[in-house]
Amino acid sequence: MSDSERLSDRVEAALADEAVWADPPSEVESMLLASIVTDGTRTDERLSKALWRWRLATGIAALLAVVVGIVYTVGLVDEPAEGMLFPINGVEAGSEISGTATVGPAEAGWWIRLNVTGLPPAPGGSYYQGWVSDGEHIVSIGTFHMRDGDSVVLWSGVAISDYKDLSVTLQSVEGGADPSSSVVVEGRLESG
Amino acid sequence: MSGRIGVVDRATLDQFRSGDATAVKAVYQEFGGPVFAVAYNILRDRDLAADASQQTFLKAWRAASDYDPERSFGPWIYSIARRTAIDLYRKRRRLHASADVDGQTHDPGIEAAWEVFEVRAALEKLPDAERVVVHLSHLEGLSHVEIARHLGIPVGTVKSRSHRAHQRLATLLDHLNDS
Repeated sequence: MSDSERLSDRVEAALADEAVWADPPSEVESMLLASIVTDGTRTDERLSKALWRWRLATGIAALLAVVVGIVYTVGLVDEPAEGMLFPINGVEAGSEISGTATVGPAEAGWWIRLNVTGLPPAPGGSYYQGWVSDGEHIVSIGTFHMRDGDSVVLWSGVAISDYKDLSVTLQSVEGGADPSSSVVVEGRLESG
Repeated sequence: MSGRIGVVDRATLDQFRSGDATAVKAVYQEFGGPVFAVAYNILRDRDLAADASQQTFLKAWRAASDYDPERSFGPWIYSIARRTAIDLYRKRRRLHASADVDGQTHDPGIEAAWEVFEVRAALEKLPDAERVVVHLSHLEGLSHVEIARHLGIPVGTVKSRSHRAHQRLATLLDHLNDS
């Protein structure tokens, strides 16, 4: 019996497929672990154990929301109300990219949910990056690839009341940390 | 292909279920190769397969509390990988509704994709010296003489390594003959 005759035809076929021998890029593991660290949607036992902390934080947040709501209502601050929608659009003329940015307070800053239609998945070797700017400084609010859905939640550690100009750039993995010149989406986090 | 990997034990899977990042890393090191092989087999694109692999483990981690530790982990994560790769392909096809996309990928069917997963996992259990002989023989199509010349080792050594490797593979993959 030859060596190969020990194996079935199907195993033989699989062994001749380059897919069986291909190694995943080394960055997959590091990106996976980074995604897990930053993922905020986990609903496992750990979260249930931390539920009491969440309830406490929710209670405090609700109290703060009432205070902020009152302050906002009387016009003493210029923060966007939680859940307020702002239009965002593609930059290029005739672009089919459009959507909304929704903003809300978080424990450590602000969350900014982008719902975008027409924004294609970032090509291989690139990714999207969100930014907010006060006209003088620009601050990253996170990266994403938009390859699985039309929605992404980003985070801002700077006050949205000051950093109202929102933009999304297409970044190369080989590029630097600064925003690229390839701006694909823009919007302003301010009511008309 | 990376070196031989270990076996994920029950304790690691329990930690994985609780979301422990170290356990996720251990599970990736065990199943990263087979998951990528399935994704690449379906998508035929290295970058997309990398995306599918990352999404697969992220989905598995998010759904880890649903995983029944009494059942084998391999088939569970395999099913996530295959579904993720096919979903990614379908989404790409919708976004780029052109004829050329269809030719770049295929759905090999559940059995064939599972065989890719299992064969890759079995290959990772071979010693490096045996695996390279199988690689040169099956993927590159080299004869024992050509492999010996390529590796700079005696033909008899190639034959013995090939014999042992195929014996191991036959044992590791024997269950596929029953499916």
